[in-house]
Amino acid sequence: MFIELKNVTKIYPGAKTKALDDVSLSFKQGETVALLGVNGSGKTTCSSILCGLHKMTKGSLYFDGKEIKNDIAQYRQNIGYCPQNCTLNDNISVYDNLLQGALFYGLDSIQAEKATEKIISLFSMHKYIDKMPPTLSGGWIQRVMIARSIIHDPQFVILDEPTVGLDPAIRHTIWKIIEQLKMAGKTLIITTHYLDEADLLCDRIVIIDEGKILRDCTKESLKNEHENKDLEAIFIKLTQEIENEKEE
Amino acid sequence: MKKKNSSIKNSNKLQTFRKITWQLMRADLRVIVKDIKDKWINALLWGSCTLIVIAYIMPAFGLKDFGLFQAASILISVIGFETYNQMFIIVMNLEQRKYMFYLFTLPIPVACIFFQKIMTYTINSMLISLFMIPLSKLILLDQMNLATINWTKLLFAITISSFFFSCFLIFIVSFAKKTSQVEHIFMRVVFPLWFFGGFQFSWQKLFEINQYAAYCSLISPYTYATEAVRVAFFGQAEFIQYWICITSMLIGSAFFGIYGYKRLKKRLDLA
Repeated sequence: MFIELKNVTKIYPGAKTKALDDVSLSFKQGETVALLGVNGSGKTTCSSILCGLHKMTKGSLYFDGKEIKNDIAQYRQNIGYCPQNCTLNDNISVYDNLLQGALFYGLDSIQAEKATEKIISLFSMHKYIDKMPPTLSGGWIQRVMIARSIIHDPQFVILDEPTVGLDPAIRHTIWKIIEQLKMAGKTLIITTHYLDEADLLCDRIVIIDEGKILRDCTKESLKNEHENKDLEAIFIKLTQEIENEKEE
Repeated sequence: MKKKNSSIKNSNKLQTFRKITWQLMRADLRVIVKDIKDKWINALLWGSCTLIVIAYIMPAFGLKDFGLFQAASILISVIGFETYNQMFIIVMNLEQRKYMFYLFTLPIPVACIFFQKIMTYTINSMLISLFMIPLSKLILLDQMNLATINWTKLLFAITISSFFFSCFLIFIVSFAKKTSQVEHIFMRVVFPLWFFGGFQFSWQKLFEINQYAAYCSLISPYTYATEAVRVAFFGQAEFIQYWICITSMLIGSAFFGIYGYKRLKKRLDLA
C-alpha cells in the first residue's frame, strides 16, 4: 500500500501565493517520514491534503495505485490524522471521545469498545478516561488526540506537529508513543520543525520551503552528503542556500 | 458481473455512510439531552415573561385577548433564538478549527455531516418549541383552549419551521467568518426579520395598514412560520394559507440548505 501525490499545487481561496507548488511525493508502507520546514512552508497544507481534508488546486492523489477523486470518503478510512490544534469534543469525556472515534469509522459497538479499551491500555490513560478534554493538560490532550487518530487501526498515520508547545518530558513521552506506532508497522508522516524529533524518529526526510520540495532522501544519505553533520546544521545550510539564491 | 460488483460496492458504501451518520447523530443527541434542561429554563424565563406581560398587564392598556396570539409567535421565536445560539457555537468551532474539523476528516462525504447537523438542530429546536406549549397553557390558563388547536397542523408547522431554521442557520454561518460577526448578523439581519416577521401582528392586519410593508414582510421566513402556527391555533380565516406557508418554508429550506452548504464547503475549502 502506498500514497502518492503527483504534481500537487495548492492555492487557498483568496490567496495569491501557492501553499504547495507542483509537489510530488510518495509514501510507502512502514516508512516514517518527516516533513520538515519553517512555519508557513507548506507542511500543514501537505498533511491536510494527504488526510483528505482540503482539496488540491491542481494535481492528483493516488492510493494503492488508484487515483482518489470521487472516493475521498472511503480513502479517509485508511488514514489516521492528528492535527495541530485540539479537535476533541469538549462536551464528552476522554473515554467517549475515543469510543466515538471508533464508531465514527464504522466499527460496531462491540469492536469499538474493544478498540477503546486497547488504546487506553496502550497509552496508559486509565486515570484520565472520565475527565473532560478542557480539564486536561496540553500533553494529555495530545496523547488523546493521537490515540483517537489510530483507534480504527489505519495503515497511514499523519501527525501534524505532534509535540509543538509541549515541555521536554512530555515530548519524550510522545516520541515513545511514535516509536510504538513505528514498531507496529504503521506508515507515519510527521510534520515538524523540531529537527531533533525528525532525526530521532524518522527514516526519510522531506524538506519543504515555500511550498516546494527542497530535499527528499533518507536521513543517512542526507547526513552523508553533508559530512555527517547533524540535521539542524544541514537544514540551516539548505535554507540559507535558498535565501542566498533568492537574494542573487 | 462487473455491474453487479459495482452495485454491491456502492450499496456497502451507502450502508457505511448511513451507519456513521447515525453514530454522529447519536453523539449529538447525547449532548442535546445533557443540555436541554438549561435550554428549557432559558426558554421558560423568556417565554413566561413575555406571556405574562402580554396576557395580564397589556389588557390594562387596551390590548385584549392577545395572549394566545403571542404564544404562537413565541413557539417560533424560541426556534429563532436557538438558531442564533447554534450559529455562535458553529462559527466559533470553525474559526478555531475545533471539533467540526475532525468531523470533516471522517470517512463520509461532507454533505452527510451537514445533513446530520441540520437534522440535529431540527430536533433540538423542536424540543424547545414543544416545551413552550404546556408552559403557554400554564400561564394563559382559560385563554388557551387545547381542544380547539389543530394538533396535526401545529406539530407539522413546528417540525417544518425547525427544519427551515436549521437550513437557514447553515446559510447564515456560510457568511460569518468570525464570532464577532455573528452579533452583527443577528442585529442587522435576524432581528429585523424576526420583529417584522409578524412577531406581534398577523400578515393580513399589516396588509390592511400598508400593502407595501406587507409585501416586504414576505421576505422574512418568520412570517411563514408564525402564520402557520397561528392557523393551527385559530383556524385559517385571518392568516396566510397554511400550505403556502409550509411550501414556502420547504422551498426556502432547500435553497438555504443547499446554497449554504455549497458556500460553506467552498469557503472552508473542504474536499
